[in-house]
Amino acid sequence: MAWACGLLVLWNLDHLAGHLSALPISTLDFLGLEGHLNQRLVMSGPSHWIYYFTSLDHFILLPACYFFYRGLKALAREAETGRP
Amino acid sequence: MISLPLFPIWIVDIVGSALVLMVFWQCVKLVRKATRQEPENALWLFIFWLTVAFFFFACSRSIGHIFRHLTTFAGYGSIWEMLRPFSGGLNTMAFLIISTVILFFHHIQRLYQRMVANHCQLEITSKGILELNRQMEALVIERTMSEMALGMADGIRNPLHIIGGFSHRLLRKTDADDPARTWAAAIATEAKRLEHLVERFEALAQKKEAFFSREDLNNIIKDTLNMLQMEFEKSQLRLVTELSPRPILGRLNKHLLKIALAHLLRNSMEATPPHGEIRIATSIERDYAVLVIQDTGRGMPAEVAEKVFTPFYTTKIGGTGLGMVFVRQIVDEHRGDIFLQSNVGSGTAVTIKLPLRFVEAKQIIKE
Repeated sequence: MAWACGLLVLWNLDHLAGHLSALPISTLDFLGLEGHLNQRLVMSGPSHWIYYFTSLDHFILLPACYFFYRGLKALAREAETGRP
Repeated sequence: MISLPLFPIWIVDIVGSALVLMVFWQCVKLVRKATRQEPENALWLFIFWLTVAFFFFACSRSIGHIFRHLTTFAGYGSIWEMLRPFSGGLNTMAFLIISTVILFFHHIQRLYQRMVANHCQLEITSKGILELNRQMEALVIERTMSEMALGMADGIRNPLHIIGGFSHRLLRKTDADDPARTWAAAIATEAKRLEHLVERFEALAQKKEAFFSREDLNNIIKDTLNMLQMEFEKSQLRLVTELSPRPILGRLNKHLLKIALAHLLRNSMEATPPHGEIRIATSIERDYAVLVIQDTGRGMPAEVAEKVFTPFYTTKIGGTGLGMVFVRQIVDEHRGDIFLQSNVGSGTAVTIKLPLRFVEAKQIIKE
Protein backbone atom coordinates (compact mmCIF):
# COMPACT_ATOMS: atom_id res chain seq x y z
CA MET A 1 0.00 0.00 0.00
CA ALA A 2 2.91 2.32 0.79
CA TRP A 3 4.34 1.63 -2.68
CA ALA A 4 0.97 2.44 -4.24
CA CYS A 5 0.82 5.77 -2.40
CA GLY A 6 4.41 6.63 -3.36
CA LEU A 7 3.79 5.81 -7.03
CA LEU A 8 0.55 7.82 -7.05
CA VAL A 9 2.45 10.84 -5.72
CA LEU A 10 5.09 10.30 -8.43
CA TRP A 11 2.37 9.94 -11.08
CA ASN A 12 0.79 13.23 -9.98
CA LEU A 13 4.17 14.97 -10.28
CA ASP A 14 4.69 13.34 -13.69
CA HIS A 15 1.28 14.55 -14.81
CA LEU A 16 1.96 18.08 -13.63
CA ALA A 17 5.32 18.13 -15.44
CA GLY A 18 3.61 16.73 -18.57
CA HIS A 19 0.97 19.46 -18.61
CA LEU A 20 3.55 22.20 -17.99
CA SER A 21 5.88 20.91 -20.69
CA ALA A 22 3.00 20.78 -23.20
CA LEU A 23 2.51 24.55 -22.96
CA PRO A 24 5.35 25.63 -25.36
CA ILE A 25 4.60 22.80 -27.84
CA SER A 26 2.61 23.96 -30.88
CA THR A 27 0.93 21.99 -33.70
CA LEU A 28 3.94 22.88 -35.88
CA ASP A 29 6.10 20.57 -33.77
CA PHE A 30 4.09 17.55 -34.96
CA LEU A 31 4.93 15.88 -38.27
CA GLY A 32 2.35 13.93 -40.26
CA LEU A 33 -1.43 13.95 -40.23
CA GLU A 34 -3.39 13.90 -37.00
CA GLY A 35 -4.80 10.45 -36.23
CA HIS A 36 -2.30 8.63 -38.39
CA LEU A 37 0.09 6.08 -36.95
CA ASN A 38 3.09 7.74 -38.58
CA GLN A 39 2.61 11.04 -36.76
CA ARG A 40 5.85 12.16 -35.01
CA LEU A 41 6.99 14.81 -32.59
CA VAL A 42 10.03 16.92 -33.43
CA MET A 43 12.31 17.08 -30.38
CA SER A 44 13.29 20.71 -30.69
CA GLY A 45 13.81 21.45 -26.99
CA PRO A 46 13.93 19.97 -23.48
CA SER A 47 10.18 20.54 -22.97
CA HIS A 48 9.49 18.26 -25.95
CA TRP A 49 11.52 15.46 -24.39
CA ILE A 50 9.78 15.98 -21.08
CA TYR A 51 6.37 15.98 -22.78
CA TYR A 52 7.15 12.77 -24.69
CA PHE A 53 8.32 10.75 -21.71
CA THR A 54 5.80 12.09 -19.20
CA SER A 55 3.06 11.10 -21.66
CA LEU A 56 3.99 7.48 -20.98
CA ASP A 57 2.54 7.98 -17.47
CA HIS A 58 0.79 4.60 -17.43
CA PHE A 59 4.16 3.03 -16.67
CA ILE A 60 3.76 4.68 -13.24
CA LEU A 61 -0.04 4.66 -12.83
CA LEU A 62 -0.52 1.00 -13.68
CA PRO A 63 2.03 -0.30 -11.12
CA ALA A 64 0.46 2.10 -8.56
CA CYS A 65 -2.97 0.54 -9.22
CA TYR A 66 -1.54 -2.95 -9.04
CA PHE A 67 0.21 -2.26 -5.71
CA PHE A 68 -3.04 -0.76 -4.41
CA TYR A 69 -4.86 -3.96 -5.37
CA ARG A 70 -2.14 -6.11 -3.74
CA GLY A 71 -2.31 -3.97 -0.60
CA LEU A 72 -6.08 -4.42 -0.41
CA LYS A 73 -5.71 -8.16 -0.89
CA ALA A 74 -3.16 -8.32 1.93
CA LEU A 75 -5.49 -6.30 4.19
CA ALA A 76 -8.43 -8.58 3.37
CA ARG A 77 -6.33 -11.66 4.10
CA GLU A 78 -5.17 -10.11 7.37
CA ALA A 79 -8.79 -9.39 8.32
CA GLU A 80 -9.76 -12.97 7.56
CA THR A 81 -6.89 -14.75 9.28
CA GLY A 82 -6.11 -12.10 11.91
CA ARG A 83 -2.44 -12.36 10.99
CA PRO A 84 -0.43 -9.64 9.19
CA MET B 1 16.47 17.40 -35.87
CA ILE B 2 15.33 14.25 -34.00
CA SER B 3 11.69 13.27 -34.21
CA LEU B 4 9.98 10.44 -32.29
CA PRO B 5 6.84 8.48 -33.28
CA LEU B 6 3.69 9.16 -31.25
CA PHE B 7 2.08 5.75 -31.64
CA PRO B 8 3.94 4.21 -28.63
CA ILE B 9 2.30 6.93 -26.48
CA TRP B 10 -1.14 6.12 -27.94
CA ILE B 11 -0.74 2.38 -27.47
CA VAL B 12 0.48 2.77 -23.90
CA ASP B 13 -2.36 5.20 -23.22
CA ILE B 14 -5.13 2.96 -24.64
CA VAL B 15 -3.86 -0.33 -23.19
CA GLY B 16 -2.85 1.34 -19.88
CA SER B 17 -6.24 3.06 -19.49
CA ALA B 18 -8.08 -0.23 -20.07
CA LEU B 19 -5.84 -2.04 -17.58
CA VAL B 20 -6.22 0.69 -14.93
CA LEU B 21 -9.99 0.42 -15.29
CA MET B 22 -9.82 -3.38 -14.89
CA VAL B 23 -7.53 -3.26 -11.85
CA PHE B 24 -9.74 -0.71 -10.06
CA TRP B 25 -12.83 -2.78 -10.87
CA GLN B 26 -11.10 -5.76 -9.21
CA CYS B 27 -10.31 -3.50 -6.23
CA VAL B 28 -13.98 -2.47 -5.92
CA LYS B 29 -15.08 -6.12 -6.00
CA LEU B 30 -12.53 -7.12 -3.38
CA VAL B 31 -13.37 -4.26 -1.03
CA ARG B 32 -17.13 -4.73 -1.44
CA LYS B 33 -16.74 -8.34 -0.33
CA ALA B 34 -14.61 -7.36 2.70
CA THR B 35 -17.01 -4.57 3.70
CA ARG B 36 -19.98 -6.94 3.49
CA GLN B 37 -18.19 -9.31 5.84
CA GLU B 38 -17.47 -6.52 8.34
CA PRO B 39 -20.04 -3.76 7.71
CA GLU B 40 -19.21 -1.96 10.96
CA ASN B 41 -15.45 -1.91 10.45
CA ALA B 42 -14.50 1.77 10.06
CA LEU B 43 -11.26 0.97 8.21
CA TRP B 44 -13.02 -1.12 5.57
CA LEU B 45 -15.71 1.51 5.21
CA PHE B 46 -13.01 4.10 4.52
CA ILE B 47 -11.21 1.83 2.06
CA PHE B 48 -14.50 1.05 0.31
CA TRP B 49 -15.33 4.72 -0.29
CA LEU B 50 -11.73 5.49 -1.27
CA THR B 51 -11.73 2.65 -3.80
CA VAL B 52 -15.09 3.76 -5.20
CA ALA B 53 -13.68 7.29 -5.58
CA PHE B 54 -10.57 5.88 -7.32
CA PHE B 55 -12.77 3.80 -9.61
CA PHE B 56 -14.79 6.89 -10.49
CA PHE B 57 -11.52 8.66 -11.34
CA ALA B 58 -10.31 5.65 -13.38
CA CYS B 59 -13.60 5.59 -15.33
CA SER B 60 -13.57 9.32 -16.05
CA ARG B 61 -9.90 9.37 -17.09
CA SER B 62 -9.58 6.06 -18.94
CA ILE B 63 -12.83 6.34 -20.86
CA GLY B 64 -11.89 9.91 -21.75
CA HIS B 65 -8.45 8.90 -23.02
CA ILE B 66 -9.71 5.90 -25.01
CA PHE B 67 -12.52 7.99 -26.50
CA ARG B 68 -10.02 10.71 -27.46
CA HIS B 69 -7.79 8.32 -29.39
CA LEU B 70 -10.70 6.53 -31.08
CA THR B 71 -12.33 9.77 -32.25
CA THR B 72 -8.97 11.11 -33.48
CA PHE B 73 -8.26 7.90 -35.43
CA ALA B 74 -11.78 7.99 -36.85
CA GLY B 75 -11.24 11.56 -38.00
CA TYR B 76 -13.66 13.12 -35.49
CA GLY B 77 -11.03 14.95 -33.45
CA SER B 78 -13.33 17.98 -33.26
CA ILE B 79 -15.84 15.98 -31.13
CA TRP B 80 -13.11 15.27 -28.59
CA GLU B 81 -12.12 18.94 -28.56
CA MET B 82 -15.73 19.70 -27.64
CA LEU B 83 -15.87 17.11 -24.89
CA ARG B 84 -12.37 17.78 -23.54
CA PRO B 85 -13.34 20.43 -20.92
CA PHE B 86 -16.08 18.13 -19.54
CA SER B 87 -13.65 15.22 -19.27
CA GLY B 88 -11.13 17.47 -17.47
CA GLY B 89 -13.90 18.67 -15.13
CA LEU B 90 -14.88 15.08 -14.31
CA ASN B 91 -11.25 14.22 -13.53
CA THR B 92 -10.98 17.22 -11.19
CA MET B 93 -14.26 16.24 -9.54
CA ALA B 94 -12.96 12.70 -9.03
CA PHE B 95 -9.87 14.04 -7.28
CA LEU B 96 -12.04 16.31 -5.16
CA ILE B 97 -14.10 13.29 -4.11
CA ILE B 98 -10.92 11.34 -3.26
CA SER B 99 -9.63 14.24 -1.13
CA THR B 100 -13.01 14.66 0.59
CA VAL B 101 -13.22 10.96 1.44
CA ILE B 102 -9.67 11.00 2.86
CA LEU B 103 -10.22 14.18 4.89
CA PHE B 104 -13.62 13.03 6.17
CA PHE B 105 -12.32 9.68 7.36
CA HIS B 106 -9.20 11.31 8.79
CA HIS B 107 -11.42 13.42 11.06
CA ILE B 108 -13.64 10.44 11.85
CA GLN B 109 -10.51 8.46 12.80
CA ARG B 110 -9.45 11.22 15.25
CA LEU B 111 -12.93 11.20 16.79
CA TYR B 112 -12.87 7.41 16.94
CA GLN B 113 -9.45 7.37 18.64
CA ARG B 114 -10.69 9.91 21.20
CA MET B 115 -13.78 7.78 21.79
CA VAL B 116 -11.63 4.67 22.31
CA ALA B 117 -9.38 6.57 24.77
CA ASN B 118 -12.45 7.86 26.67
CA HIS B 119 -13.90 4.36 26.72
CA CYS B 120 -10.65 2.97 28.21
CA GLN B 121 -10.59 5.74 30.81
CA LEU B 122 -14.22 5.04 31.70
CA GLU B 123 -13.45 1.35 32.08
CA ILE B 124 -10.56 2.09 34.44
CA THR B 125 -12.70 4.55 36.43
CA SER B 126 -15.64 2.15 36.70
CA LYS B 127 -13.30 -0.65 37.82
CA GLY B 128 -11.90 1.67 40.51
CA ILE B 129 -15.41 2.67 41.61
CA LEU B 130 -16.49 -0.97 41.72
CA GLU B 131 -13.50 -1.91 43.87
CA LEU B 132 -14.10 1.03 46.19
CA ASN B 133 -17.77 0.14 46.43
CA ARG B 134 -16.89 -3.44 47.33
CA GLN B 135 -14.58 -2.24 50.09
CA MET B 136 -17.21 0.16 51.36
CA GLU B 137 -19.82 -2.59 51.44
CA ALA B 138 -17.50 -4.90 53.38
CA LEU B 139 -16.74 -2.07 55.76
CA VAL B 140 -20.42 -1.26 56.27
CA ILE B 141 -21.22 -4.94 56.97
CA GLU B 142 -18.36 -5.20 59.45
CA ARG B 143 -19.33 -1.95 61.11
CA THR B 144 -23.03 -2.90 61.31
CA MET B 145 -22.21 -6.27 62.84
CA SER B 146 -19.98 -4.63 65.44
CA GLU B 147 -22.63 -2.08 66.27
CA MET B 148 -25.35 -4.73 66.54
CA ALA B 149 -23.15 -6.80 68.84
CA LEU B 150 -22.39 -3.77 71.00
CA GLY B 151 -26.06 -2.81 71.08
CA MET B 152 -27.04 -6.33 72.16
CA ALA B 153 -24.35 -6.40 74.85
CA ASP B 154 -25.56 -3.04 76.10
CA GLY B 155 -29.18 -4.24 76.14
CA ILE B 156 -28.33 -7.40 78.08
CA ARG B 157 -25.98 -5.72 80.56
CA ASN B 158 -28.57 -3.39 82.13
CA PRO B 159 -31.24 -5.99 83.09
CA LEU B 160 -28.39 -8.26 84.16
CA HIS B 161 -27.12 -5.63 86.62
CA ILE B 162 -30.62 -5.38 88.07
CA ILE B 163 -30.97 -9.19 88.38
CA GLY B 164 -27.51 -9.43 89.97
CA GLY B 165 -28.22 -6.51 92.38
CA PHE B 166 -31.58 -7.85 93.50
CA SER B 167 -30.29 -11.40 93.92
CA HIS B 168 -27.47 -10.10 96.16
CA ARG B 169 -29.97 -8.06 98.22
CA LEU B 170 -32.21 -11.14 98.49
CA LEU B 171 -29.22 -13.17 99.62
CA ARG B 172 -28.45 -10.68 102.39
CA LYS B 173 -32.05 -10.58 103.61
CA THR B 174 -32.67 -14.35 103.76
CA ASP B 175 -31.71 -16.49 106.75
CA ALA B 176 -28.97 -19.06 106.50
CA ASP B 177 -31.43 -21.96 106.88
CA ASP B 178 -33.91 -20.57 104.34
CA PRO B 179 -34.10 -22.90 101.29
CA ALA B 180 -34.63 -19.84 99.03
CA ARG B 181 -31.08 -18.66 99.92
CA THR B 182 -29.55 -21.41 97.78
CA TRP B 183 -31.73 -20.29 94.85
CA ALA B 184 -30.81 -16.61 95.34
CA ALA B 185 -27.11 -17.59 95.51
CA ALA B 186 -27.47 -19.57 92.26
CA ILE B 187 -29.17 -16.57 90.58
CA ALA B 188 -26.37 -14.20 91.76
CA THR B 189 -23.60 -16.57 90.55
CA GLU B 190 -25.23 -17.08 87.14
CA ALA B 191 -25.86 -13.34 86.77
CA LYS B 192 -22.16 -12.71 87.52
CA ARG B 193 -21.17 -15.38 84.98
CA LEU B 194 -23.46 -13.80 82.36
CA GLU B 195 -21.94 -10.38 83.09
CA HIS B 196 -18.44 -11.74 82.42
CA LEU B 197 -19.73 -13.36 79.23
CA VAL B 198 -21.23 -10.06 78.03
CA GLU B 199 -17.98 -8.21 78.85
CA ARG B 200 -15.96 -10.72 76.83
CA PHE B 201 -18.46 -10.53 73.96
CA GLU B 202 -18.27 -6.72 73.99
CA ALA B 203 -14.48 -6.76 74.00
CA LEU B 204 -14.50 -9.14 71.04
CA ALA B 205 -16.99 -7.00 69.12
CA GLN B 206 -14.82 -3.94 69.64
CA LYS B 207 -11.72 -5.77 68.48
CA LYS B 208 -13.48 -7.18 65.39
CA GLU B 209 -12.71 -4.20 63.20
CA ALA B 210 -10.48 -5.55 60.49
CA PHE B 211 -10.97 -2.41 58.42
CA PHE B 212 -9.97 0.03 61.12
CA SER B 213 -6.62 0.18 62.84
CA ARG B 214 -4.76 2.58 65.07
CA GLU B 215 -3.28 5.11 62.67
CA ASP B 216 -1.79 8.59 62.78
CA LEU B 217 -3.81 10.97 60.57
CA ASN B 218 -0.66 13.06 59.97
CA ASN B 219 1.11 10.03 58.50
CA ILE B 220 -1.86 9.26 56.24
CA ILE B 221 -1.72 12.86 54.93
CA LYS B 222 2.06 12.66 54.40
CA ASP B 223 1.68 9.39 52.45
CA THR B 224 -1.06 10.92 50.29
CA LEU B 225 1.04 14.02 49.58
CA ASN B 226 3.98 11.81 48.58
CA MET B 227 1.67 9.92 46.24
CA LEU B 228 0.54 13.20 44.60
CA GLN B 229 3.96 14.89 44.58
CA MET B 230 4.39 14.66 40.78
CA GLU B 231 0.92 16.07 40.17
CA PHE B 232 1.65 18.99 42.51
CA GLU B 233 4.92 19.74 40.71
CA LYS B 234 3.14 19.74 37.35
CA SER B 235 0.36 22.03 38.57
CA GLN B 236 2.86 24.70 39.80
CA LEU B 237 0.92 25.25 43.02
CA ARG B 238 2.27 26.23 46.42
CA LEU B 239 1.55 23.56 48.98
CA VAL B 240 1.34 24.67 52.62
CA THR B 241 1.14 21.95 55.27
CA GLU B 242 0.32 22.86 58.84
CA LEU B 243 0.15 19.46 60.49
CA SER B 244 -0.41 19.08 64.20
CA PRO B 245 2.96 18.61 66.00
CA ARG B 246 1.36 15.84 68.09
CA PRO B 247 0.45 12.56 66.41
CA ILE B 248 -3.30 12.33 65.78
CA LEU B 249 -4.00 8.71 66.64
CA GLY B 250 -7.40 7.25 65.94
CA ARG B 251 -9.13 4.15 64.65
CA LEU B 252 -8.96 4.89 60.96
CA ASN B 253 -9.01 3.09 57.64
CA LYS B 254 -5.74 4.19 56.07
CA HIS B 255 -6.54 3.01 52.54
CA LEU B 256 -9.98 4.64 52.26
CA LEU B 257 -8.86 7.88 53.87
CA LYS B 258 -6.01 8.11 51.35
CA ILE B 259 -8.53 7.74 48.49
CA ALA B 260 -10.75 10.45 49.97
CA LEU B 261 -7.83 12.83 50.58
CA ALA B 262 -6.38 12.25 47.11
CA HIS B 263 -9.75 13.03 45.56
CA LEU B 264 -10.16 16.25 47.56
CA LEU B 265 -6.59 17.36 46.75
CA ARG B 266 -7.03 16.61 43.04
CA ASN B 267 -10.24 18.64 43.03
CA SER B 268 -8.34 21.53 44.62
CA MET B 269 -5.52 21.21 42.09
CA GLU B 270 -7.97 21.30 39.17
CA ALA B 271 -9.79 24.33 40.57
CA THR B 272 -6.67 26.35 41.41
CA PRO B 273 -4.76 28.21 38.70
CA PRO B 274 -0.90 27.96 38.54
CA HIS B 275 0.95 29.76 41.38
CA GLY B 276 -2.13 29.42 43.58
CA GLU B 277 -2.00 27.88 47.06
CA ILE B 278 -3.36 24.75 48.69
CA ARG B 279 -3.23 24.57 52.49
CA ILE B 280 -3.58 21.36 54.48
CA ALA B 281 -3.93 21.67 58.23
CA THR B 282 -4.64 19.19 61.00
CA SER B 283 -5.45 19.76 64.67
CA ILE B 284 -7.11 18.07 67.63
CA GLU B 285 -10.34 19.45 69.04
CA ARG B 286 -11.44 17.51 72.16
CA ASP B 287 -12.01 13.94 70.90
CA TYR B 288 -11.95 14.87 67.23
CA ALA B 289 -9.24 15.12 64.62
CA VAL B 290 -9.84 18.11 62.37
CA LEU B 291 -8.49 18.23 58.85
CA VAL B 292 -8.82 21.30 56.62
CA ILE B 293 -8.00 21.43 52.91
CA GLN B 294 -8.19 24.97 51.59
CA ASP B 295 -7.42 26.28 48.13
CA THR B 296 -7.28 29.66 46.45
CA GLY B 297 -9.07 28.37 43.36
CA ARG B 298 -12.07 29.65 41.47
CA GLY B 299 -14.56 28.47 44.13
CA MET B 300 -18.13 27.44 43.53
CA PRO B 301 -21.43 29.27 43.56
CA ALA B 302 -23.80 28.30 46.38
CA GLU B 303 -26.11 26.30 44.08
CA VAL B 304 -23.19 24.10 42.97
CA ALA B 305 -21.70 23.77 46.47
CA GLU B 306 -24.94 22.42 47.89
CA LYS B 307 -25.10 19.71 45.22
CA VAL B 308 -21.50 18.40 45.38
CA PHE B 309 -22.50 15.45 47.56
CA THR B 310 -25.43 14.54 45.31
CA PRO B 311 -24.75 11.31 43.37
CA PHE B 312 -24.02 11.79 39.66
CA TYR B 313 -23.92 15.58 39.95
CA THR B 314 -20.82 16.85 38.15
CA THR B 315 -19.59 20.01 36.50
CA LYS B 316 -16.57 18.29 34.91
CA ILE B 317 -16.57 16.97 31.34
CA GLY B 318 -16.32 13.19 31.59
CA GLY B 319 -16.80 13.24 35.39
CA THR B 320 -18.80 10.50 37.10
CA GLY B 321 -20.31 12.66 39.82
CA LEU B 322 -19.45 9.97 42.37
CA GLY B 323 -16.11 11.18 43.78
CA MET B 324 -17.47 13.50 46.46
CA VAL B 325 -20.21 10.99 47.28
CA PHE B 326 -17.54 8.42 48.09
CA VAL B 327 -15.58 10.98 50.10
CA ARG B 328 -18.62 11.63 52.26
CA GLN B 329 -19.33 7.92 52.60
CA ILE B 330 -15.74 7.30 53.75
CA VAL B 331 -16.05 10.10 56.32
CA ASP B 332 -19.45 8.71 57.42
CA GLU B 333 -17.94 5.26 57.92
CA HIS B 334 -15.45 6.85 60.30
CA ARG B 335 -18.44 8.41 62.09
CA GLY B 336 -17.10 11.80 61.12
CA ASP B 337 -18.50 14.93 59.51
CA ILE B 338 -17.54 16.83 56.38
CA PHE B 339 -18.22 20.51 55.73
CA LEU B 340 -17.64 22.50 52.58
CA GLN B 341 -17.34 26.25 52.35
CA SER B 342 -16.83 27.92 49.01
CA ASN B 343 -16.92 31.43 47.57
CA VAL B 344 -16.64 32.25 43.90
CA GLY B 345 -13.21 33.74 43.19
CA SER B 346 -11.74 33.18 46.65
CA GLY B 347 -11.52 29.38 46.84
CA THR B 348 -12.94 26.40 48.68
CA ALA B 349 -12.31 24.96 52.14
CA VAL B 350 -13.21 21.40 53.06
CA THR B 351 -13.24 20.53 56.77
CA ILE B 352 -13.35 16.93 57.97
CA LYS B 353 -13.92 16.03 61.63
CA LEU B 354 -13.11 12.45 62.63
CA PRO B 355 -13.71 10.99 66.09
CA LEU B 356 -10.47 9.70 67.63
CA ARG B 357 -12.03 6.96 69.75
CA PHE B 358 -14.36 4.18 68.74
CA VAL B 359 -17.90 5.48 68.86
CA GLU B 360 -21.17 3.78 68.20
CA ALA B 361 -23.63 4.90 65.59
CA LYS B 362 -25.66 7.91 66.69
CA GLN B 363 -28.97 6.03 66.54
CA ILE B 364 -27.64 3.29 68.85
CA ILE B 365 -26.42 5.83 71.38
CA LYS B 366 -29.91 7.35 71.38
CA GLU B 367 -31.50 3.97 72.08
